Amino acid sequence: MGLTFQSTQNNALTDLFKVEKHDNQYIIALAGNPNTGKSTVFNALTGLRQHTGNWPGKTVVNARGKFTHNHQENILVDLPGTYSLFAASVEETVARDFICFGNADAVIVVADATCLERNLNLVYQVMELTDNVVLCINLIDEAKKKNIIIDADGIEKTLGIPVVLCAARKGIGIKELKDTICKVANDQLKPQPKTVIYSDYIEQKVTAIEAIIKTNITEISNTEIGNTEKNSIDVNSRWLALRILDGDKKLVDSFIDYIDKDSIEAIQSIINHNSIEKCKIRDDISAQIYKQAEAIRDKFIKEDKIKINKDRVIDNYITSNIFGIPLMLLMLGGILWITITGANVPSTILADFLFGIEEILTAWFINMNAPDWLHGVLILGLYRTLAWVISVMLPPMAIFFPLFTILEDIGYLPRVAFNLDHLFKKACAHGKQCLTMCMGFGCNAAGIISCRIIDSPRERLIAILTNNFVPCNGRFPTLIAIATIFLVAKSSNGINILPTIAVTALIVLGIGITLLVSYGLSKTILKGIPSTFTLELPPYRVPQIGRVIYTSIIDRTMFVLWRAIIIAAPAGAVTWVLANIYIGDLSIIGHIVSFLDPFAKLIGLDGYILMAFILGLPANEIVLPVLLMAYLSTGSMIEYDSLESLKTILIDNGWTYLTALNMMLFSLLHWPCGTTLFTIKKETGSWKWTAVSAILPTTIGIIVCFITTIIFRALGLG
Amino acid sequence: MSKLAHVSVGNYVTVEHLSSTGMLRERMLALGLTKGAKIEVIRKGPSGDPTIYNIRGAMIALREEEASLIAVNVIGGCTEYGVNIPIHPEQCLNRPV
Repeated sequence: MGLTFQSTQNNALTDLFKVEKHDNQYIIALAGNPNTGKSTVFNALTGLRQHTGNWPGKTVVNARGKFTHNHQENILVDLPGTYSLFAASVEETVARDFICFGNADAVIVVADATCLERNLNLVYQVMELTDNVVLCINLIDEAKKKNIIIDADGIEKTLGIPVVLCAARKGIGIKELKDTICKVANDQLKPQPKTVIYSDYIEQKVTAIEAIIKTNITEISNTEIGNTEKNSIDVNSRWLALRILDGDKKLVDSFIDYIDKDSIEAIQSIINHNSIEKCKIRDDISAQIYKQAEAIRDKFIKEDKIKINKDRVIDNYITSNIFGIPLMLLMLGGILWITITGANVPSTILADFLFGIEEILTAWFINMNAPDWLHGVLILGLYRTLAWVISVMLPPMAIFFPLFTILEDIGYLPRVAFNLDHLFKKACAHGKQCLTMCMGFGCNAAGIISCRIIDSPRERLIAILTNNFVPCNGRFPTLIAIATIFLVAKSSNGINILPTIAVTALIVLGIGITLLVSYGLSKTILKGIPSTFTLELPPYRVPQIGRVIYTSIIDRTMFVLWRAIIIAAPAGAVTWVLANIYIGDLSIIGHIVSFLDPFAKLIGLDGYILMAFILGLPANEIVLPVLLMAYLSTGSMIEYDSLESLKTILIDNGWTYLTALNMMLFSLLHWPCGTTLFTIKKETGSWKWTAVSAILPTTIGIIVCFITTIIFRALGLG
Repeated sequence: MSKLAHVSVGNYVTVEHLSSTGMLRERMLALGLTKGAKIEVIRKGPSGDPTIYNIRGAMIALREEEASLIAVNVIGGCTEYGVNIPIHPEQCLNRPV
């Protein structure tokens, strides 16, 4: 869910370097471990509203913002969260290269106050690269709650760089952070980082290599490291020597052409180690950095050691082997129940309002003596579809999205991934696929972008191909509307949980199919064993409920309204035209429907439904509105006043329980929407995999619907 | 010395060495699994895998395959308290393993 309308418009990590800057502007990079509240600090500094969430790896697209402080203009670049700069993963390479070659005037390293020891590893690594570092110890409010006391002055003296304590969510320390970073960027303040001194045997080699680098490579143009910016920067030679020594192959290869042969040989004779020794050097470097971090922790951080860790008590239930999975289902059901129940009222109000306007507009058209076809295209086609989308589809979206975001904020999603990991492991899939799957509930396109958190190409591809098996926010309302219409007990006025159970069951089915297909792919075209899995479970955090609701409703509303205008409205107009142009004695829709009908009937649907799904390719939220349009344009007009009237329309058009069931199943299991397909093409770079991602779910959908149809008919229910 | 994967919940260990290679080794080092680092085995997942460890103050889940690559020395445990009782090492280390 983390990626929203705005962030999916951003480009990939590779665009990170293209920072347009004027002479009087400063570039500031924001680095930090995953899940330290970097995005919150970014928002607090820039006043932007980048989506935040409590799970590591959330920021997979880079964000950039500006802030002016004391008349100084700054461009802030949010780097992907990394544990280190040793360039093991794409994110780490990007973060490192930006700090090295991105022309940043200063770097803010955001650290989690509740986990400072681990975070200091990155701080030390950044300090080796550049002097202009400011340490922002964030989440100081959380630390206070946990009785963790941090001596910022002591840390500042030990590290030799400015340290700012901060609680970005509450705006605490932000002004000080701005003051400090501006001074560091414009050289008013010169930090003197005290970097780690390694063991003698490493230091001797480093000194020797550094000497060769200094005499032979005067400057390393950043074009060699894949950056197209014009000017060259002198990279910290000590850092370079260290990386040559511990064998950062990618980095060494990229500048080896620029050193003469003798120097290479000289360097190689200094290094003169086999792979075991190389490994030892890397181990020792890491161990010595962490030793420093431990020393800082012991000296300047006081923890209340007896205080019982509340998180662990919560985890006793959330990740319990008895309650874990049932609680998860209950939570999902709860969210859906609130969505279904809560959507009714605003849906009716919106419908009354919008269809009221339709009457006024119609009256106006009649007064104007406007031709029938114009009224048809604009009002019965375009406007009416728009009204359907807004009144039927928007309310459930606007309720579901913030609820899910709150779960994300609390830190629940990584626990879900933890609870379900054994299943994903059996399916030979990556443990983080569970996280990307959860993202799919918000938007499949966003879910597919989030698959970047999976390092292994094979498992990333599996995650991309199966993301569509969870219903996105655009398909939920269809499922909810149909479940509500067909599963309401006739007499009851009280609480009805049947629709909730049905939709929950459908989601569980989607997850089951995700696992089965992942397994199938792993055993056939994407053979392999699951790769490594390290998942950090973040501390629980109190969600910023008000802010989440506000921003996600605004974001969702804008998103749906925008799509309603650019996709749903034209689709409605086209549908109306197709329904009213006659070829022979049948309208065009009639022809299409009668062409699709035999096949559609075979899988328990009808030609209209199949056509609506095809027309719904640009956006899933228009499937149901287009379907209604198509039914209405050929039959009698019915005033929309409640979901009950929807039911009448559907039953008049021959719907049975089988049709409803298969409509829901096919909604879950069919080709991804246009945006998602486009994203898959972009992420995989392959038309072949894009085609697979469309054919796979559609085939499964057809098979499943075919089977249910046979069963229903065999039992005499269809 | 034993493998981290075989250490039961409630125990404290120190890292002896890693037998992982490549990217996984880098990731483990980055998380702070350096020689001598103290780790607490916190809990196991619903089917006994993965397991959550307290590594340098962070809760990290590792699958059995990864935890098998980490050789450790057990330095103390609280297993007599049962599986899920949160307790701090300092209270625990004086007790017999």
